[in-house]
Amino acid sequence: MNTKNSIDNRSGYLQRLSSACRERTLVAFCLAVIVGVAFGSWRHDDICGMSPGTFWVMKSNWRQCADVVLAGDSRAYRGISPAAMKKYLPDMRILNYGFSGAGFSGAYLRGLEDVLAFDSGRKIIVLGITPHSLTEGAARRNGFLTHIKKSPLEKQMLSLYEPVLHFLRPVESKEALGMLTFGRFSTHYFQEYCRDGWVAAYKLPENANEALKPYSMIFDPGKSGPVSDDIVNELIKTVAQWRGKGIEVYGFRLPTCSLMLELEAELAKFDEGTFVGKFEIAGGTWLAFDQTGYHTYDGSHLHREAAEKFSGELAQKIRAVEPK
Amino acid sequence: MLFNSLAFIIFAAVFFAGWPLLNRRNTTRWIYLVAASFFFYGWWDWRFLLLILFSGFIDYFAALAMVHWPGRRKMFLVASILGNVGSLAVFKYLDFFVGNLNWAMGFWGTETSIPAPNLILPVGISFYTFQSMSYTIDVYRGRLEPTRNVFHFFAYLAMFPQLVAGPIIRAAHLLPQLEHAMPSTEQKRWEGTELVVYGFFKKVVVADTIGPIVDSAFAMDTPMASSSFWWVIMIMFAFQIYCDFSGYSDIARGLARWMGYDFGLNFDHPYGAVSMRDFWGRWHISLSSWFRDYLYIPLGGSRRGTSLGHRNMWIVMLIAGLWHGAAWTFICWGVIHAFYLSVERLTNWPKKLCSLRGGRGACAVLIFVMVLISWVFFRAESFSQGGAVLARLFDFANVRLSFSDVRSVLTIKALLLTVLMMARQVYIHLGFNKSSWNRSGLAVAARPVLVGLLIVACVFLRGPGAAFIYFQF
Repeated sequence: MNTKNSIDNRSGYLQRLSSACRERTLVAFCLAVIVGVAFGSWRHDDICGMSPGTFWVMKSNWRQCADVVLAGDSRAYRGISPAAMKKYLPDMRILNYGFSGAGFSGAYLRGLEDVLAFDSGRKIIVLGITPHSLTEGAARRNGFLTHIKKSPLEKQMLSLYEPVLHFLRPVESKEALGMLTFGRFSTHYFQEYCRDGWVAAYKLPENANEALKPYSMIFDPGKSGPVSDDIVNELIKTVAQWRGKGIEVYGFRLPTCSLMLELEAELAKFDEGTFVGKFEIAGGTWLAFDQTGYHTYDGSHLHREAAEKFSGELAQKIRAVEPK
Repeated sequence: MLFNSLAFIIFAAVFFAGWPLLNRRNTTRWIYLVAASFFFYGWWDWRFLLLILFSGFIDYFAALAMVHWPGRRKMFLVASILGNVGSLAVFKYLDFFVGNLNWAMGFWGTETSIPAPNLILPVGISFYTFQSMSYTIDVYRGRLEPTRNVFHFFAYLAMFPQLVAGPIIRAAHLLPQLEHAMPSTEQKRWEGTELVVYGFFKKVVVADTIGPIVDSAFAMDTPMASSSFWWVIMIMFAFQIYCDFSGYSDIARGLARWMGYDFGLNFDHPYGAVSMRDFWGRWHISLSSWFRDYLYIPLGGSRRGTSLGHRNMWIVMLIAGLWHGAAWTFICWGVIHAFYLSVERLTNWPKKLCSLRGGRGACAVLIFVMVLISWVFFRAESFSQGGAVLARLFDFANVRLSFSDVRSVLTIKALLLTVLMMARQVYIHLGFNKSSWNRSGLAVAARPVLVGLLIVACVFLRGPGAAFIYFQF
């Protein structure tokens, strides 16, 4: 009888223990989901508009859909707003086809042309030039190549999962500091990913010299190197070909801060005068802007308001030019 | 396949979905385990499988031969050890040996140099080689009956949770467990969950957050920063390597627990140790006990007198250093630990210090500092860098932690996590984990809450992903 009771007690204990363990596992995982979703929803998100992954997939998939294609690197996709340009070029389909670190390689130039619509009455390519976009390094490694090489499946997966991954993004040290000090030492990098390819951006607080340090090393021979004659010549040759096909080509140097201009003049070995001469001989139209007349948020990229102002002025200049 | 990768999460989900069905019969269980483990290991490079098969078959047949021809047991043991140590020597140490030989020839004026073969180092080779050797040595000593089923043997040798970074499980411990369908109870599953979550927290949150900071500090060609900066960096490295390695062990133990198996404890809060001997009883326990049982004691241990005991201990520590990597920095690390242990044996200073009031805490701090100093050579890229960092650590004229040091390298998240891990070690050292509160209803109820919060931390506080440090060993 005692043995039976003892076995019953033991079995009852094991059952209770098993049930308690199951409950613990359930509690742990349910709590993780609830706290995770609550935290992810509560934390401040500096990114708005489209999700970045979907944005880049969309851009790399653009084919034959624009009258005006804007080209260049991050200074171009952050610095030129097609929406602001449309105020002055109202009937035109304008897209910003800029990519991170994009260099004017053959692949990128072909990609630009592919974005122009067959049925367009006035085809325009606008090249936002930076010294870095004319280097060998930028031609070899850049955001355009990264995205264009992705398989359709990969792009599909990125579009589907990127919003989830973005929701689950890790807390960076700066964000942690902001949370721990109730926002007193918080820093923000606001970025709005727009459907026309522009990324409207600004930072709080701003650091006007932030981009100078990485740029001071980017033109080293082991990295992107200085401006390459081969890249420049290929670009000029392509401009001439585009002109031959009736495409209007505009070029301009993207505005930035004075320190950056000095740094680029010293390290990138970019002879702007010679470049402009070749560009115009090839049939392109060079547009001059006040290089330091627009506000940058990090010493390189235009603040969203400056970008809108600059884009309006760019569109006005294009409108003012009689098609050749 | 890294534990902290999406590929592993998918692999584990598929494996554990099939485990309850295929676990019931011995042969199917072993085949399933071997197939899954080979898939896991082959994910890095399928050619690695050839080496584990080579090493495994040598030991499998050597053990069977020892039973079949007992008179030639020693010969088969030697063949097994030569096969295992030989593959380690070729894949891990040949480049080091050739490099040193070339240096020596250059030193003596010979101009010819032997080209280094630059063979690829198979992941976790040191772990499974030692595990495999323990099998034949135990069979030789008559402590273990060899298995006749090759799948049973490879299920032990290649079992994926511990294959590439330990713990080094003895055959006598795991083979008998594999002979039965171990029931995976709710309790085991819960314990496994706790271990896996703690392990992931240590790895993806602590080690991966601290890692880039330590890397950045050691990437400087000349360590010009202040003494205090380097002390902070070395403390961070101490917790990076601890959390990286013990995190892996915890995940491995947790996965085994989900299968119903038990792997022994591999780390027991080593930074709370009060002597170097105590430290080695808490740090990488499966390796230190392996060296004790298969090298130190066979060499004679300390039975044949004090000086021979010291000699044997130095041999073990030098080999332990070399086991970690084919570089003089690792040998130097082994030498430092051997020196510490010798001084401790001769003076018995920890025991004397511990007997004083507050001495136990002082001992723990001193041991921690001594371990930090040894880690300098473990982490340094070269012998000269190790020396330079060591010199900087003791440059007390330059102790000020400058703002530029902090801003350029250290991050608030990494500092907070380091402090958290230090606090945890102090908590354990002071014995709070054994207090009655820990068994109270509130503490028991708090555990699932803690596990849930740690899962959230693993998601939102994770650092940039990186491979486990001990894979290279």
